[in-house]
Amino acid sequence: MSSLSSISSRHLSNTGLENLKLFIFNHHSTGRNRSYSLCAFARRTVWQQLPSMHRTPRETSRKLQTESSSNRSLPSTHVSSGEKVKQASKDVFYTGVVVAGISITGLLGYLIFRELFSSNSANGVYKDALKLCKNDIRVQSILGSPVKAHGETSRRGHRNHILSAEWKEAEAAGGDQHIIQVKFHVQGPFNRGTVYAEKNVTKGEYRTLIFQTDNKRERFSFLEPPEPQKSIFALA
Amino acid sequence: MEEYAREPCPWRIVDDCGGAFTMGAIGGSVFQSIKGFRNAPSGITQRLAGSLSAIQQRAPIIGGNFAVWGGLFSTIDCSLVAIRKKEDPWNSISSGALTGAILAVRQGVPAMVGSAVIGGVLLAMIEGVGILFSRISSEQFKPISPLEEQQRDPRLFQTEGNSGGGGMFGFGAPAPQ
Repeated sequence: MSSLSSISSRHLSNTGLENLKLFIFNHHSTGRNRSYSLCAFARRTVWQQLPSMHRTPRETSRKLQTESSSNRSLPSTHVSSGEKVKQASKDVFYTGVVVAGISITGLLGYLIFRELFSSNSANGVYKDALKLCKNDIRVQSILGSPVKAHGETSRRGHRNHILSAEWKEAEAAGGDQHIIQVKFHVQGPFNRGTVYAEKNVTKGEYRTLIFQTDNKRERFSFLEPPEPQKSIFALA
Repeated sequence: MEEYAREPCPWRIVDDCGGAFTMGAIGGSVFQSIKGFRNAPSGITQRLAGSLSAIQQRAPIIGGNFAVWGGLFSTIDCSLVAIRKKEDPWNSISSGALTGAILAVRQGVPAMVGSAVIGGVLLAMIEGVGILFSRISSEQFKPISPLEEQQRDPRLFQTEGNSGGGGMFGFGAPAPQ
Protein backbone atom coordinates (compact mmCIF):
# COMPACT_ATOMS: atom_id res chain seq x y z
CA MET A 1 0.00 0.00 0.00
CA SER A 2 2.73 2.39 0.97
CA SER A 3 4.71 1.51 -2.14
CA LEU A 4 1.76 2.34 -4.36
CA SER A 5 1.21 5.67 -2.75
CA SER A 6 4.92 6.49 -2.99
CA ILE A 7 4.96 5.63 -6.72
CA SER A 8 1.93 7.69 -7.42
CA SER A 9 3.11 10.65 -5.40
CA ARG A 10 6.48 10.57 -7.14
CA HIS A 11 4.78 11.17 -10.48
CA LEU A 12 2.33 13.64 -9.21
CA SER A 13 2.50 17.34 -9.14
CA ASN A 14 1.65 19.54 -6.23
CA THR A 15 -2.06 19.06 -6.70
CA GLY A 16 -1.65 15.34 -6.10
CA LEU A 17 0.25 15.98 -2.86
CA GLU A 18 -2.38 18.45 -1.76
CA ASN A 19 -5.05 15.86 -2.42
CA LEU A 20 -3.07 13.33 -0.38
CA LYS A 21 -2.81 15.67 2.57
CA LEU A 22 -6.45 16.55 2.40
CA PHE A 23 -7.34 12.90 2.14
CA ILE A 24 -5.28 11.89 5.18
CA PHE A 25 -6.69 14.74 7.20
CA ASN A 26 -10.27 13.85 6.33
CA HIS A 27 -10.10 10.09 6.66
CA HIS A 28 -7.84 9.77 9.66
CA SER A 29 -10.43 11.33 11.93
CA THR A 30 -13.40 9.46 10.48
CA GLY A 31 -11.74 6.05 11.10
CA ARG A 32 -12.87 4.39 7.92
CA ASN A 33 -11.11 1.43 6.35
CA ARG A 34 -7.78 2.98 5.62
CA SER A 35 -6.35 0.45 3.23
CA TYR A 36 -9.34 0.56 0.95
CA SER A 37 -9.60 4.26 0.83
CA LEU A 38 -5.85 4.74 0.22
CA CYS A 39 -6.07 2.37 -2.67
CA ALA A 40 -9.03 4.19 -4.08
CA PHE A 41 -7.26 7.49 -3.66
CA ALA A 42 -4.23 6.25 -5.52
CA ARG A 43 -6.35 4.99 -8.39
CA ARG A 44 -8.22 8.24 -8.56
CA THR A 45 -5.13 10.38 -8.53
CA VAL A 46 -3.36 8.34 -11.19
CA TRP A 47 -6.42 8.50 -13.39
CA GLN A 48 -6.66 12.23 -12.93
CA GLN A 49 -3.00 12.94 -13.56
CA LEU A 50 -2.15 10.52 -16.33
CA PRO A 51 -3.63 12.33 -19.33
CA SER A 52 -1.78 15.52 -18.54
CA MET A 53 1.48 13.62 -17.95
CA HIS A 54 1.40 12.29 -21.52
CA ARG A 55 0.60 15.60 -23.08
CA THR A 56 3.49 17.61 -24.51
CA PRO A 57 3.93 21.17 -23.31
CA ARG A 58 3.13 22.55 -26.76
CA GLU A 59 -0.19 20.81 -26.81
CA THR A 60 -0.95 22.12 -23.33
CA SER A 61 -0.22 25.68 -24.25
CA ARG A 62 -2.24 25.43 -27.43
CA LYS A 63 -5.15 24.00 -25.56
CA LEU A 64 -4.90 26.70 -22.89
CA GLN A 65 -4.77 29.35 -25.53
CA THR A 66 -7.86 28.12 -27.34
CA GLU A 67 -9.68 27.78 -24.08
CA SER A 68 -8.85 31.29 -22.92
CA SER A 69 -9.66 32.94 -26.23
CA SER A 70 -12.97 31.18 -26.50
CA ASN A 71 -13.96 32.03 -22.92
CA ARG A 72 -12.92 35.69 -22.88
CA SER A 73 -15.08 38.36 -24.43
CA LEU A 74 -12.79 41.07 -25.77
CA PRO A 75 -13.48 44.67 -24.63
CA SER A 76 -14.74 47.01 -27.26
CA THR A 77 -11.99 48.81 -29.18
CA HIS A 78 -14.25 51.62 -30.19
CA VAL A 79 -13.25 55.04 -28.75
CA SER A 80 -15.63 57.93 -29.05
CA SER A 81 -14.32 61.14 -30.59
CA GLY A 82 -15.00 63.04 -27.36
CA GLU A 83 -12.74 60.67 -25.45
CA LYS A 84 -10.13 60.98 -28.17
CA VAL A 85 -10.13 64.76 -27.88
CA LYS A 86 -9.98 64.52 -24.09
CA GLN A 87 -7.03 62.13 -24.17
CA ALA A 88 -5.23 64.17 -26.82
CA SER A 89 -5.59 67.41 -24.85
CA LYS A 90 -4.39 65.63 -21.71
CA ASP A 91 -1.37 64.32 -23.61
CA VAL A 92 -0.60 67.76 -25.00
CA PHE A 93 -0.90 69.32 -21.55
CA TYR A 94 1.39 66.79 -19.86
CA THR A 95 3.90 66.98 -22.71
CA GLY A 96 3.85 70.75 -22.32
CA VAL A 97 4.53 70.47 -18.58
CA VAL A 98 7.42 68.07 -19.18
CA VAL A 99 8.91 70.21 -21.95
CA ALA A 100 8.59 73.39 -19.85
CA GLY A 101 10.26 71.67 -16.90
CA ILE A 102 13.12 70.36 -18.99
CA SER A 103 13.67 73.70 -20.72
CA ILE A 104 13.65 75.70 -17.47
CA THR A 105 16.08 73.24 -15.88
CA GLY A 106 18.23 73.38 -19.01
CA LEU A 107 18.22 77.18 -19.01
CA LEU A 108 19.21 77.31 -15.34
CA GLY A 109 21.90 74.67 -15.93
CA TYR A 110 23.26 76.64 -18.89
CA LEU A 111 23.25 79.94 -16.97
CA ILE A 112 25.03 78.52 -13.94
CA PHE A 113 27.52 76.58 -16.10
CA ARG A 114 28.35 79.70 -18.13
CA GLU A 115 28.56 81.80 -14.99
CA LEU A 116 30.95 79.43 -13.29
CA PHE A 117 33.20 78.24 -16.10
CA SER A 118 33.29 81.02 -18.68
CA SER A 119 35.52 84.06 -18.32
CA ASN A 120 32.96 86.01 -20.38
CA SER A 121 30.54 86.15 -17.47
CA ALA A 122 30.02 88.36 -14.46
CA ASN A 123 31.68 85.80 -12.22
CA GLY A 124 34.59 85.46 -14.63
CA VAL A 125 35.15 89.24 -14.65
CA TYR A 126 34.87 89.27 -10.85
CA LYS A 127 37.53 86.57 -10.58
CA ASP A 128 39.87 88.33 -12.99
CA ALA A 129 39.39 91.82 -11.54
CA LEU A 130 39.91 90.47 -8.02
CA LYS A 131 43.21 88.92 -9.07
CA LEU A 132 44.37 92.28 -10.50
CA CYS A 133 43.19 94.00 -7.34
CA LYS A 134 45.00 91.62 -4.99
CA ASN A 135 48.23 91.96 -6.95
CA ASP A 136 48.11 95.76 -6.90
CA ILE A 137 50.60 97.31 -4.50
CA ARG A 138 48.37 100.33 -3.79
CA VAL A 139 45.46 98.13 -2.74
CA GLN A 140 47.75 96.06 -0.56
CA SER A 141 49.06 99.16 1.17
CA ILE A 142 45.59 100.62 1.74
CA LEU A 143 43.76 97.46 2.82
CA GLY A 144 46.55 95.38 4.25
CA SER A 145 46.84 91.67 3.73
CA PRO A 146 44.96 89.30 3.36
CA VAL A 147 42.37 90.84 1.07
CA LYS A 148 38.90 89.28 1.26
CA ALA A 149 36.24 89.82 -1.41
CA HIS A 150 32.49 89.54 -1.43
CA GLY A 151 29.40 90.67 -3.28
CA GLU A 152 26.30 92.46 -2.12
CA THR A 153 25.02 91.56 1.32
CA SER A 154 21.57 90.05 1.13
CA ARG A 155 18.98 90.38 3.86
CA ARG A 156 19.99 86.98 5.23
CA GLY A 157 23.69 87.73 5.35
CA HIS A 158 24.69 85.92 2.18
CA ARG A 159 27.23 87.86 0.21
CA ASN A 160 27.92 85.76 -2.86
CA HIS A 161 25.77 87.74 -5.25
CA ILE A 162 27.93 90.07 -7.33
CA LEU A 163 26.14 93.13 -8.64
CA SER A 164 26.47 93.01 -12.40
CA ALA A 165 25.05 94.09 -15.73
CA GLU A 166 25.85 93.06 -19.25
CA TRP A 167 24.85 94.25 -22.68
CA LYS A 168 25.88 94.34 -26.29
CA GLU A 169 27.17 97.43 -27.99
CA ALA A 170 27.28 97.88 -31.73
CA GLU A 171 30.62 99.16 -32.88
CA ALA A 172 31.50 100.30 -36.38
CA ALA A 173 34.68 98.22 -36.50
CA GLY A 174 34.49 94.73 -35.06
CA GLY A 175 30.73 94.17 -34.80
CA ASP A 176 28.91 93.64 -31.53
CA GLN A 177 30.88 94.20 -28.37
CA HIS A 178 29.91 92.34 -25.23
CA ILE A 179 30.25 94.56 -22.18
CA ILE A 180 30.09 93.34 -18.58
CA GLN A 181 29.97 95.59 -15.54
CA VAL A 182 30.59 94.28 -12.05
CA LYS A 183 30.91 95.82 -8.64
CA PHE A 184 32.25 94.02 -5.61
CA HIS A 185 33.61 94.74 -2.18
CA VAL A 186 37.07 94.08 -0.85
CA GLN A 187 38.34 94.35 2.67
CA GLY A 188 41.51 93.90 4.56
CA PRO A 189 42.63 94.37 8.14
CA PHE A 190 43.04 98.18 7.75
CA ASN A 191 40.24 99.27 5.50
CA ARG A 192 37.46 98.28 3.16
CA GLY A 193 36.75 99.34 -0.38
CA THR A 194 34.75 98.79 -3.52
CA VAL A 195 35.95 97.78 -6.95
CA TYR A 196 34.02 98.79 -10.02
CA ALA A 197 34.91 97.14 -13.31
CA GLU A 198 33.62 97.48 -16.83
CA LYS A 199 35.10 95.04 -19.28
CA ASN A 200 34.74 94.57 -23.00
CA VAL A 201 34.96 90.78 -23.07
CA THR A 202 34.89 90.61 -26.86
CA LYS A 203 38.24 92.40 -26.95
CA GLY A 204 39.22 91.13 -23.52
CA GLU A 205 40.16 94.54 -22.16
CA TYR A 206 38.94 96.65 -19.28
CA ARG A 207 37.35 99.99 -20.00
CA THR A 208 37.11 100.97 -16.37
CA LEU A 209 38.62 99.45 -13.30
CA ILE A 210 38.30 101.69 -10.28
CA PHE A 211 39.06 101.08 -6.66
CA GLN A 212 37.60 103.32 -4.00
CA THR A 213 37.72 103.01 -0.25
CA ASP A 214 34.33 102.99 1.44
CA ASN A 215 35.17 106.18 3.35
CA LYS A 216 35.80 107.75 -0.10
CA ARG A 217 39.20 109.13 0.85
CA GLU A 218 41.09 107.17 -1.76
CA ARG A 219 40.20 106.41 -5.31
CA PHE A 220 42.28 105.37 -8.27
CA SER A 221 42.07 103.47 -11.50
CA PHE A 222 44.14 100.34 -11.98
CA LEU A 223 44.38 101.17 -15.65
CA GLU A 224 46.51 104.23 -14.99
CA PRO A 225 50.05 103.80 -13.74
CA PRO A 226 50.60 104.74 -10.08
CA GLU A 227 51.42 108.40 -9.53
CA PRO A 228 55.04 108.91 -8.70
CA GLN A 229 55.17 109.28 -4.93
CA LYS A 230 57.12 112.20 -3.60
CA SER A 231 59.78 111.13 -1.23
CA ILE A 232 59.55 112.78 2.16
CA PHE A 233 63.30 113.39 1.98
CA ALA A 234 63.09 115.30 -1.26
CA LEU A 235 63.01 119.06 -0.83
CA ALA A 236 60.09 120.66 -2.48
CA MET B 1 25.84 101.50 6.39
CA GLU B 2 24.78 99.36 9.31
CA GLU B 3 24.97 96.07 7.44
CA TYR B 4 28.55 96.75 6.44
CA ALA B 5 29.60 97.27 10.02
CA ARG B 6 29.22 93.66 11.10
CA GLU B 7 30.81 90.63 9.57
CA PRO B 8 27.91 88.23 8.84
CA CYS B 9 29.82 85.04 8.97
CA PRO B 10 29.86 83.28 12.31
CA TRP B 11 26.43 84.69 13.28
CA ARG B 12 24.90 83.69 10.01
CA ILE B 13 25.06 80.03 11.05
CA VAL B 14 22.57 80.62 13.86
CA ASP B 15 20.39 82.74 11.56
CA ASP B 16 20.34 80.07 8.89
CA CYS B 17 19.69 77.29 11.37
CA GLY B 18 16.69 79.13 12.82
CA GLY B 19 15.44 80.20 9.40
CA ALA B 20 15.62 76.64 8.13
CA PHE B 21 13.82 75.33 11.23
CA THR B 22 11.01 77.83 10.72
CA MET B 23 10.76 77.03 7.05
CA GLY B 24 10.70 73.28 7.71
CA ALA B 25 8.19 73.56 10.54
CA ILE B 26 5.79 75.75 8.55
CA GLY B 27 6.13 73.76 5.33
CA GLY B 28 5.93 70.49 7.26
CA SER B 29 2.78 71.66 9.06
CA VAL B 30 1.05 72.47 5.80
CA PHE B 31 2.09 69.17 4.24
CA GLN B 32 1.31 67.04 7.30
CA SER B 33 -2.06 68.71 7.89
CA ILE B 34 -3.17 67.68 4.40
CA LYS B 35 -1.72 64.20 4.84
CA GLY B 36 -3.31 63.71 8.26
CA PHE B 37 -6.64 65.00 6.97
CA ARG B 38 -6.65 62.51 4.10
CA ASN B 39 -5.53 59.55 6.16
CA ALA B 40 -7.95 60.05 9.07
CA PRO B 41 -11.25 58.15 9.41
CA SER B 42 -14.28 59.87 7.91
CA GLY B 43 -16.11 62.65 9.70
CA ILE B 44 -14.90 66.23 9.88
CA THR B 45 -14.01 66.09 13.59
CA GLN B 46 -11.97 62.93 13.15
CA ARG B 47 -10.25 64.41 10.12
CA LEU B 48 -9.34 67.65 11.90
CA ALA B 49 -8.07 65.64 14.88
CA GLY B 50 -6.02 63.45 12.54
CA SER B 51 -4.63 66.51 10.85
CA LEU B 52 -3.67 68.07 14.19
CA SER B 53 -2.01 64.93 15.53
CA ALA B 54 -0.04 64.51 12.29
CA ILE B 55 1.23 68.08 12.65
CA GLN B 56 2.15 67.47 16.30
CA GLN B 57 4.03 64.31 15.48
CA ARG B 58 5.83 65.20 12.26
CA ALA B 59 6.24 68.97 11.86
CA PRO B 60 8.89 69.41 14.61
CA ILE B 61 10.87 66.52 13.14
CA ILE B 62 10.78 68.02 9.66
CA GLY B 63 11.76 71.39 11.12
CA GLY B 64 14.66 69.75 12.94
CA ASN B 65 15.85 68.02 9.79
CA PHE B 66 15.77 71.32 7.94
CA ALA B 67 17.62 73.02 10.79
CA VAL B 68 20.39 70.41 10.67
CA TRP B 69 20.73 70.93 6.95
CA GLY B 70 20.72 74.73 7.22
CA GLY B 71 23.12 74.86 10.12
CA LEU B 72 25.62 72.48 8.56
CA PHE B 73 25.35 74.23 5.21
CA SER B 74 26.04 77.61 6.73
CA THR B 75 28.91 76.27 8.84
CA ILE B 76 30.62 74.84 5.76
CA ASP B 77 29.86 77.99 3.77
CA CYS B 78 31.48 80.17 6.41
CA SER B 79 34.48 77.84 6.63
CA LEU B 80 34.93 78.04 2.87
CA VAL B 81 34.68 81.84 3.00
CA ALA B 82 37.38 81.91 5.66
CA ILE B 83 39.63 79.55 3.69
CA ARG B 84 39.14 80.98 0.19
CA LYS B 85 38.78 84.64 1.28
CA LYS B 86 36.26 85.08 -1.50
CA GLU B 87 32.49 84.79 -1.70
CA ASP B 88 31.04 83.51 -4.94
CA PRO B 89 28.54 80.88 -6.18
CA TRP B 90 31.17 78.13 -5.83
CA ASN B 91 31.02 78.43 -2.05
CA SER B 92 27.34 77.67 -1.80
CA ILE B 93 27.42 74.88 -4.39
CA SER B 94 30.33 73.07 -2.77
CA SER B 95 28.89 73.51 0.72
CA GLY B 96 25.57 72.08 -0.49
CA ALA B 97 27.38 69.04 -1.87
CA LEU B 98 29.49 68.63 1.29
CA THR B 99 26.43 68.94 3.53
CA GLY B 100 24.67 66.22 1.55
CA ALA B 101 27.72 63.98 1.81
CA ILE B 102 28.21 64.53 5.55
CA LEU B 103 24.56 63.88 6.40
CA ALA B 104 24.62 60.59 4.45
CA VAL B 105 27.92 59.42 5.96
CA ARG B 106 26.31 56.57 7.91
CA GLN B 107 24.75 55.09 4.77
CA GLY B 108 28.02 54.33 3.02
CA VAL B 109 30.04 55.84 0.20
CA PRO B 110 27.52 55.34 -2.69
CA ALA B 111 24.76 57.05 -0.69
CA MET B 112 27.18 59.85 0.18
CA VAL B 113 28.03 60.44 -3.48
CA GLY B 114 24.35 60.44 -4.48
CA SER B 115 23.43 62.79 -1.67
CA ALA B 116 26.34 65.09 -2.51
CA VAL B 117 25.29 65.28 -6.15
CA ILE B 118 21.70 66.06 -5.16
CA GLY B 119 22.85 68.76 -2.71
CA GLY B 120 25.23 70.34 -5.24
CA VAL B 121 22.70 70.34 -8.07
CA LEU B 122 20.00 71.76 -5.80
CA LEU B 123 22.20 74.63 -4.66
CA ALA B 124 23.43 75.22 -8.23
CA MET B 125 19.79 75.51 -9.32
CA ILE B 126 19.11 78.01 -6.54
CA GLU B 127 22.13 80.04 -7.67
CA GLY B 128 20.88 79.75 -11.25
CA VAL B 129 17.51 81.17 -10.23
CA GLY B 130 19.37 84.04 -8.53
CA ILE B 131 21.37 84.71 -11.71
CA LEU B 132 18.21 84.52 -13.81
CA PHE B 133 16.42 87.06 -11.62
CA SER B 134 19.39 89.40 -11.49
CA ARG B 135 19.54 89.21 -15.28
CA ILE B 136 15.85 90.01 -15.64
CA SER B 137 16.08 92.92 -13.21
CA SER B 138 19.61 93.99 -14.17
CA GLU B 139 18.47 97.42 -15.35
CA GLN B 140 17.19 98.28 -11.89
CA PHE B 141 20.23 97.06 -10.00
CA LYS B 142 22.94 98.14 -12.37
CA PRO B 143 26.26 98.66 -10.64
CA ILE B 144 27.00 102.35 -10.36
CA SER B 145 30.48 103.60 -10.99
CA PRO B 146 32.02 105.75 -8.24
CA LEU B 147 32.39 108.56 -10.78
CA GLU B 148 28.70 108.44 -11.60
CA GLU B 149 27.91 108.29 -7.90
CA GLN B 150 29.91 111.43 -7.33
CA GLN B 151 28.11 113.26 -10.10
CA ARG B 152 24.78 112.33 -8.57
CA ASP B 153 25.59 113.33 -5.04
CA PRO B 154 28.84 115.28 -4.62
CA ARG B 155 28.21 115.92 -0.92
CA LEU B 156 28.97 112.31 -0.12
CA PHE B 157 32.53 112.91 -1.21
CA GLN B 158 33.17 116.13 0.70
CA THR B 159 35.34 114.64 3.36
CA GLU B 160 38.09 116.59 5.06
CA GLY B 161 40.90 115.19 2.93
CA ASN B 162 39.19 115.28 -0.40
CA SER B 163 36.86 118.10 -1.31
CA GLY B 164 35.36 115.99 -4.07
CA GLY B 165 34.57 116.93 -7.60
CA GLY B 166 38.13 118.18 -7.96
CA GLY B 167 40.72 115.54 -8.72
CA MET B 168 39.11 112.51 -10.30
CA PHE B 169 41.77 110.05 -9.27
CA GLY B 170 43.34 112.20 -6.59
CA PHE B 171 45.17 110.48 -3.78
CA GLY B 172 43.30 112.42 -1.18
CA ALA B 173 45.10 115.51 -2.38
CA PRO B 174 44.29 118.69 -0.49
CA ALA B 175 41.65 120.80 -2.14
CA PRO B 176 42.95 123.69 -4.21
CA GLN B 177 42.54 126.88 -2.26
